[in-house]
Amino acid sequence: MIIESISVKGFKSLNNVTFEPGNVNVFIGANGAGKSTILEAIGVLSAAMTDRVDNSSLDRKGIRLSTPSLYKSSFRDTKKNPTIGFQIQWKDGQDQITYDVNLNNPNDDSAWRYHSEALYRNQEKLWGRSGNSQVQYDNRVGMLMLAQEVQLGIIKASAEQLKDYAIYQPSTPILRGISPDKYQATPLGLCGGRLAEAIEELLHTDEDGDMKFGDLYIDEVLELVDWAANFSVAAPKKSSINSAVPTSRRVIEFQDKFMREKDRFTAYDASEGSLYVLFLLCLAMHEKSPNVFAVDNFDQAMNPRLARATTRLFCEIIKKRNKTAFITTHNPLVLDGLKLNDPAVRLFTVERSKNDGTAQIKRIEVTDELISLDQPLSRLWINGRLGGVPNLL
Amino acid sequence: MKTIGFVCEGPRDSDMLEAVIRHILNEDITPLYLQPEASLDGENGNGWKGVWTWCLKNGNTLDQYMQGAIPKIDMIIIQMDGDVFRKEREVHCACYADECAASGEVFPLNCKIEDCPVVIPCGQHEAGISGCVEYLQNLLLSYFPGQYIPVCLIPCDSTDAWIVAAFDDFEDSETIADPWNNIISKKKDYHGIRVPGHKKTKTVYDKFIPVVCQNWESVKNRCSQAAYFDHAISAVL
Ligand SMILES: [Zn+2]
Repeated sequence: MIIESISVKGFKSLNNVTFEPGNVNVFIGANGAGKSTILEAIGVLSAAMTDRVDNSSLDRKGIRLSTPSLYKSSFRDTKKNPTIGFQIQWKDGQDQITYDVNLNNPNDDSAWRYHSEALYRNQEKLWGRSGNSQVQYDNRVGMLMLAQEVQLGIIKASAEQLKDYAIYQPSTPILRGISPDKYQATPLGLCGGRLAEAIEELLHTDEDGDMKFGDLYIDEVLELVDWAANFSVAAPKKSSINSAVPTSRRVIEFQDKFMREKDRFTAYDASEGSLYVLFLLCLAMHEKSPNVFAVDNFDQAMNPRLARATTRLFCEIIKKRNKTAFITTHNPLVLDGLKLNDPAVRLFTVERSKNDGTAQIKRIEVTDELISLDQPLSRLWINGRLGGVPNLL
Repeated sequence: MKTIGFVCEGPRDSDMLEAVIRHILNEDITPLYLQPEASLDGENGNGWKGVWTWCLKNGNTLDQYMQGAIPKIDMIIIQMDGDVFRKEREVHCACYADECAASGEVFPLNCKIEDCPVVIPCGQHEAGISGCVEYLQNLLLSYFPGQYIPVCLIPCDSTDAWIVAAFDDFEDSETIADPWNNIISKKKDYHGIRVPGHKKTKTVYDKFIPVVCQNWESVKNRCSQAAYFDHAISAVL
């Protein structure tokens, strides 16, 4: 699934936006500008197309539940959209596929109602429904649950790639294995649960007898976790764990460079930033992780140079595996890890319009003029050239 | 403890130089890893381009830069591999100044001229190890008009040559092109140390560095820039 464009109408602050993503999509903007809302909108779209939209389907995708009426845009000066609308276009081989949906969100906790829904291949309508349709479909479930195999054909497989979309937002206690993840999922919980198990699934020995972590040599991962001489996953042992700490079934064990080889300690005592790095690499490389996903606050707990190096490696993996990632960040050095002259990597600013408060999404492209300024993206961002900063001194 | 700034092509180079300094001085140091900001296309922020760019951007104000924060920087070490001399046209820009209107007008790394007259290997000056070292040192040190002149190190053909000099008794450690690919990582292991995927990772490099320190006398004898480095460190610190 190579997503070509996503449009959102009438969802929270996204009154009417369209953007064209690449493989790695980075959203920057002031606090409250609507970055997370974009990640949520993609989640609602994913639920609408592949499942249904209700509290439990949104919850599974890591979408913060709020009062139903707050989902709908309600700006004072704009014409209120009667429905919430989404459109996604993607390439399936040579074909351009378009999925279009309009939903009514109820004022109570029940499922959102489908107002209209349609699927097109190169503008030819393959499937659709609206109030005027002859076939009466359940107005609380979406296309992939309703349409027949023959109508969707091979498009079904590519549409399903959006099914597991979720917003990941790891938190330190969960990565450390000391609190449970309330958003559990395989291979990784949305808040960092199951990290030890996912790491274990990625660790293997290649035909030359070298240790690998997914596509990477373990030594390449240790570049980013540079205080560790090695890491592995094992059953919890009394010696390495404080008995007061509740733990999961498996624990990550680190060997510190400066300690004796047999001394190990667990994620409970490991550096926070390293756990985030391992989490992101698992997410990018695990065979069972979603093809399309989002990470809110990508750079949490990372030193600026670690954030930059992690971003660089993350982009390489996502591109190589042809996945699509949507990420938000507040760390300027994340931007310096982006190779923006590669169209697979895209940077967007998100800002609220001064006129009506609606969120606007702009793609920042690198032109020769900008390159000739000879300034890194981090500095251009902080100095205001890219937008996406609050007006503070 | 001395504070030493490293302007190196990559982290493996500063790892090596740092360890060698600790070995020579037999005391700990505080390292600072200095790096220019990357340009928008992700270039000029590291590697030989990063080193050159750092000199361009910090040369004029180096004294203030070193003294302007506490702890002050006691020494700055600039490292660029000698292979740049034989491989990269940009560093020979000045050699062909007469034949190019853009020469001197624009920093060579930002020059977009299409019919660049530079040919490599450059025949405009003395070749060989000493010619290469002298040329690159002059190029980089020309950016420092102030009081303090950094230590400028041009290991030939690269810092990796010091590893070869520590392990093998070759007569030509400095003239072997690309020792990492042609010697060290050519097979799956080098003198019993595995090099997974031919990659120059920190884990692997950290196994070679202690041997370089252990055999530092041999490395100095086999690599002129190692001897120069030893001298520069001992003399100043
Ligand atoms: Zn020349």
